[in-house]
Amino acid sequence: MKKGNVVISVKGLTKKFGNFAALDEFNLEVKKGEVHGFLGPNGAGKSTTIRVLLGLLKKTSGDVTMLGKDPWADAVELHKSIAYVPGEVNLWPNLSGGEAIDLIASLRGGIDRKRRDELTEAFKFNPKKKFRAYSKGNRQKVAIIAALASDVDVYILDEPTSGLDPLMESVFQHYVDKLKKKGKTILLSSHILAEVEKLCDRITIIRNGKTIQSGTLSEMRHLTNTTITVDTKQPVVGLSKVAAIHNANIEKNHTKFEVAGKDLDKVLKHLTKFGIQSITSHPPTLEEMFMSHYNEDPNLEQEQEANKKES
Amino acid sequence: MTSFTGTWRLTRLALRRDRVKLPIWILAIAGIMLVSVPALSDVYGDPAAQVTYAVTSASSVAARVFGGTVDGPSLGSITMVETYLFLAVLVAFMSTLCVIRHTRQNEELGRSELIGSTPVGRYSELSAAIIVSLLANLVTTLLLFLALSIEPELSRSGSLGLSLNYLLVGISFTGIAALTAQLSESSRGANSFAAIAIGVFFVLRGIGDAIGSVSADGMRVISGWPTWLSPFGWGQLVHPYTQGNWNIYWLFICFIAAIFSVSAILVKHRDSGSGILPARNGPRYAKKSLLSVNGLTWRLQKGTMIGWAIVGLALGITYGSIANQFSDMLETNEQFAEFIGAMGGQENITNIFFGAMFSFTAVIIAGYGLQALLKTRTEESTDRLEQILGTHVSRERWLGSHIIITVSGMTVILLTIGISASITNAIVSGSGWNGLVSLSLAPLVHLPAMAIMYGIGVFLFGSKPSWMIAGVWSIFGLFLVIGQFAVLLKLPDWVINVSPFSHAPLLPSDSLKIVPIVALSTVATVLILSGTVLFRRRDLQI
Repeated sequence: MKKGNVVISVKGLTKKFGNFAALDEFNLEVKKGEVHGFLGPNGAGKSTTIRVLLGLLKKTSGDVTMLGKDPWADAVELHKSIAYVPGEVNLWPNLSGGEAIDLIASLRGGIDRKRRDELTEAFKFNPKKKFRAYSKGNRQKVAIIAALASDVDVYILDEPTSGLDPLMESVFQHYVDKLKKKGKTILLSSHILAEVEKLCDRITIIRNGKTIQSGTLSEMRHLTNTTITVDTKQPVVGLSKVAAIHNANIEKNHTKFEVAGKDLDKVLKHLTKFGIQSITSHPPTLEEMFMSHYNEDPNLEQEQEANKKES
Repeated sequence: MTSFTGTWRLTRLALRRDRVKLPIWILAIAGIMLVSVPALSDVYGDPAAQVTYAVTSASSVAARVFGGTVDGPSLGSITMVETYLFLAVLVAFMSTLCVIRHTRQNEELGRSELIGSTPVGRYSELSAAIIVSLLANLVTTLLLFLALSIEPELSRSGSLGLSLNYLLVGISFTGIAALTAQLSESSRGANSFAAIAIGVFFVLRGIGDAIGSVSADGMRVISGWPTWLSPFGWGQLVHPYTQGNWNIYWLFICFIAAIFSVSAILVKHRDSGSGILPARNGPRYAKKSLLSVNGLTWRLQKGTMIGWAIVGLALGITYGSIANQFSDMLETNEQFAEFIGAMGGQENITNIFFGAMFSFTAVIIAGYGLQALLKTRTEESTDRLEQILGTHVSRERWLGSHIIITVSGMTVILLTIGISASITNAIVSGSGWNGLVSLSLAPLVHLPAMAIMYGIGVFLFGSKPSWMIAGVWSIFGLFLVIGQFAVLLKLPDWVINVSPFSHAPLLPSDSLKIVPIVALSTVATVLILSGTVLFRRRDLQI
């Protein structure tokens, strides 16, 4: 891949708060023009990563560049090209929503008034209330409208739709789609899996400050287990010698098991020897996939158990 | 479940939250009394001094407005005038802030909603807030009574009466806060209404005392009718040490009963989260003047600055109107006549008065700088700064805009004091317009010392933001004590020299010395700049 194609490059990023490493050798690469999903359980380090990318926190070690620049040293210069929506929008209680939108967009370098009005309309946002009077979803809209009304190269969105109703969520997705078509680069942190599936080209999963997975959704599906249910003429034997299978349940001619996508080919070839009468395969749902990444890291569990034994 | 279920638990929660705040308030109020009582008996112990005090106090409109009505020459009467109003206002603020903190603030921040979903009664939150405020007032009253009891010349019944005054004023304003908490949707609004109520009752009483009549012997003031409209006034009218009009306590009791009933009715008839007064809307679009870092900082800072400028105006007018009386008072006293001659005549005495007052006021006005500076930390800890720095704005520019606006604010407030003092003095004393400009500019000599205090705050903000709040107020307290009580507490010179305020020449009585001003300004600049550099280098701390 050409270097000029990478917008955000994070290599071996470590950020410590005292002794606690919020980010531990974390890696992330976002290419130009892609919508990159950034996922992970609460407290995994998503917001810390974003704050380092914005130059609000100073990295402990590692390499971080955005648009070829150092986010800490060149923060101000970089921010001309970046729009940011924080996970929790907290603005000045005595400013109206409209004032806050105008202010943030102007500080970023300018506001497209026509677009602002269009967005205000599309998100059904009442800009005349004082900020303290808005609900969570409406507070979120202030930051979203301010970000979308700015014409920049990179959009960093930290759980932007939390608190939005499904209708507004789809409005938001529509506008992200438009940005994508214009070739803008977007880093989208989200817990809403359907949104991620719909919008993101590639995703990175972070847990405990480390990169767990990175790639396209189909690549990741490949690495996650598929459930297979098969009826055969003869009972299936020797399956575990062919590939690593999980949750196997063999009753005479009826067999049910889970296997990683990469081993599917080998397993199916093996099964044909027993005379397949019917077969169903059920690829992992998005939920299953993320659950497995958020929860069931065998290495980590082994580690934890080893620690338990030691103590 | 009754309407009061859970009150006790909520009370304990509120006490837990206030375990630092309220003790500081209570000890500060009691401490002022503890220091004042022996000081007053020291200065006004002998009858001649008491007569002088009574005559001067009764004849001066300014003294009546700010101190209340003197009731004859006695230590009790003087103690009442010197301590009652000032501490009563503090007690009132302690009570209103406490009640609103545990009612409207909870509601605004959404805490009440969570609490309200558990089995607690409709009145429980308000009741808990009132109970906490009552407890704070009871403890304060007890400590004040003990402090007054140290002085044997003050009658036991009079001291009890004065202490009860504080208790009843405290409960009255607890009730007022219980009412204002129902009116506005924001705690800021509720606190503003309560502060306005304190101001209005203070002024009503001030007008009553100002238009009151002086007795034939010239040592006693009978308040005018507006004094009867104010809880502050009622406490005064009791005259605990001299007249003991205990029946006036019924006024307090009726007022308290009425205001608590009204608040209870309002609680019952409004939705949780809403106020009786509708929330006002804001503009659809921002004005052009808001759309910059300076525009935003000005918007956030102007209220504080204007508030302090009004305080400065009031102080300046007070100084200007009593400077003349101050030298008159000294002239009528034979002992002082000689002293005045040695000091170079009446004009100089007025200048000494202004010099001392400006220096004392500068330490207080430095509190404005700290209050304005703490807004930077609030912006940071509430994530708002993150939004600003996420845009095309550098940290230096953001902090710089706060520094420039605050230092300009200090300058404006000092000038307000100087100009209002000099104009009032010119009118009251009829001394003409000579020296008007130099007197107007005189308070500015303290700007470098104020900037040092501010600079210490900026330095802490850049280096150790979690210490900032405690740090700046401790230093403020230290400099205030050094400035106020250095002589009384017989502090050694090196302690006095710690305070930058000890080094500025006392214009207009001293001559203008350049060296200390340049030195103080340099220290202030170094502190502010290094704080800014350190801020550039640290993580944001939310």
